[in-house]
Amino acid sequence: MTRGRDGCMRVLALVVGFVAIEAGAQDVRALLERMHVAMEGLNYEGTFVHLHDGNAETMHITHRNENGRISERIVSRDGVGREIIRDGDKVWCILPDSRVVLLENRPDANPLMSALPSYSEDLEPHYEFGLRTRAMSIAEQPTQLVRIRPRDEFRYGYRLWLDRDTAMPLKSQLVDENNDIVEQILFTRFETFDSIPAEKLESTIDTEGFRVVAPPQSDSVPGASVHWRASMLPGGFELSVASQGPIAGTEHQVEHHVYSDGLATVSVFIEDPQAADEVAEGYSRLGSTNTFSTTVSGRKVTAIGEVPYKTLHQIAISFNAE
Amino acid sequence: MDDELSVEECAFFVRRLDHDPAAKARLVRYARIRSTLRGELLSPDPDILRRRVQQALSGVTIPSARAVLARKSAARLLKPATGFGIAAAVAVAAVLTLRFVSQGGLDAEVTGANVSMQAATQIDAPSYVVPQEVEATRLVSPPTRLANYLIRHSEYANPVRRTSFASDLVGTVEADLAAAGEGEAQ
Repeated sequence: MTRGRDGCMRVLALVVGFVAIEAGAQDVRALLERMHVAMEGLNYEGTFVHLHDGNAETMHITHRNENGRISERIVSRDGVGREIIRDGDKVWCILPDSRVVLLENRPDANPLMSALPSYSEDLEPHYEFGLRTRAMSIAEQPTQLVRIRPRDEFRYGYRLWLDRDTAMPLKSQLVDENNDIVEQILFTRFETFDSIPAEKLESTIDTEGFRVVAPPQSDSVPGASVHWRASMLPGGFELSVASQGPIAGTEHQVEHHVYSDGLATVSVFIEDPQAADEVAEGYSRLGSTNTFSTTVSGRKVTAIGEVPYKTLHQIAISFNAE
Repeated sequence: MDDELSVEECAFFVRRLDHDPAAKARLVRYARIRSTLRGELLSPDPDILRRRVQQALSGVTIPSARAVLARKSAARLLKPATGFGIAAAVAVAAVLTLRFVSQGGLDAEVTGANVSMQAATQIDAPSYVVPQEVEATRLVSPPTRLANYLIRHSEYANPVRRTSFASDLVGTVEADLAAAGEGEAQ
């Protein structure tokens, strides 16, 4: 009798424990909102390892929020020390091995005001959420594990180890529908600060003599003269932003459409095939990012995003002129 | 001496030396000459005696005991030093070759001469220094247009992915991307 009661108590404890650690989707979405705010709003520095396709690269990140002005510098610790710097409404990508500086305008100077991602309940038909409040320590910080599983094969899932105090993702994995890891980011050192001096965001590379690839003066106009539409989107994906304007390195007009399911985003660029002749048709990969390019009605259509190839393919081939 | 005399003859010789100081002194001189020629240490200073003997033997060079010891010590140090030097040279050559190959991106802006030099290096690099895997994951500059697309796209991505996109841009790009940028349809 006593043995039976002990058994029941153990089962009850397990159930209570399971319920306690598996919080609801609403709590997870709130935690993701916290993560989003932390990643943009905190002042921090850290070193992380980026793993994908059997490659491991060490990066250093410095992120600064000075009265709402977001600046960020990511430097590769391997190879030739390429850098990407975001500051205000500009993005510089410095490639010392190519002696090239890519300069782009940011569509929104304040990402905190960005509409993407949404983390709303609209995600739930397409993703399954889970939370484990007691996860392992990352970079000597206690974390909690957020699991986001895709419900179909058109999107990837995430495992996020969030710092318990700040909700910063100290480890993140992008996983496919088979739960295989597509890429992983792991912080080996992470530190927050009240403020970060502006000098830490400045490049140490002497770019004199580098070729600067910059956009023409005229900016992209959201929603202006957009002539193309995707007619067949995977479930959950909707048009978020559409703009037309020049892109760095060309005077030609480029249509840019952004589709999102609230978590994953796909960008589609439509332009003159000759202007974009360096982009090969078919599938390719830029690090852990997939791309698919094809020609539709005489225009080069290139889809790019953190989604499986089939999602890019379906969106790209469904484009047609209105 | 040197077992040339029998026991009886040695006993007679010793008794003779005890009673003949001149013969004893001559024998001591010969003994010193022998020790010097063999390179044995003598006191107080074998070099003085060595020089004297050398002069007496009409300039035949005889190495000093210190020099012999110094050369032996140097030889003992020289062997590991030579080995270390060879190992260090091979390591430096390997690091320089790896670095050179890893930085040899297939960028269209690179001059022809530079490209030729990189190609020659990649072909001629000895296989025992450069692992074959380096060729498969060498640093390649992303096609400019794709990089532009990625930068613009990253501004709309969730913040976790934005960090990934930045890493994709500044990190190693696989060689097949260069093929993608060169117009190879898949």
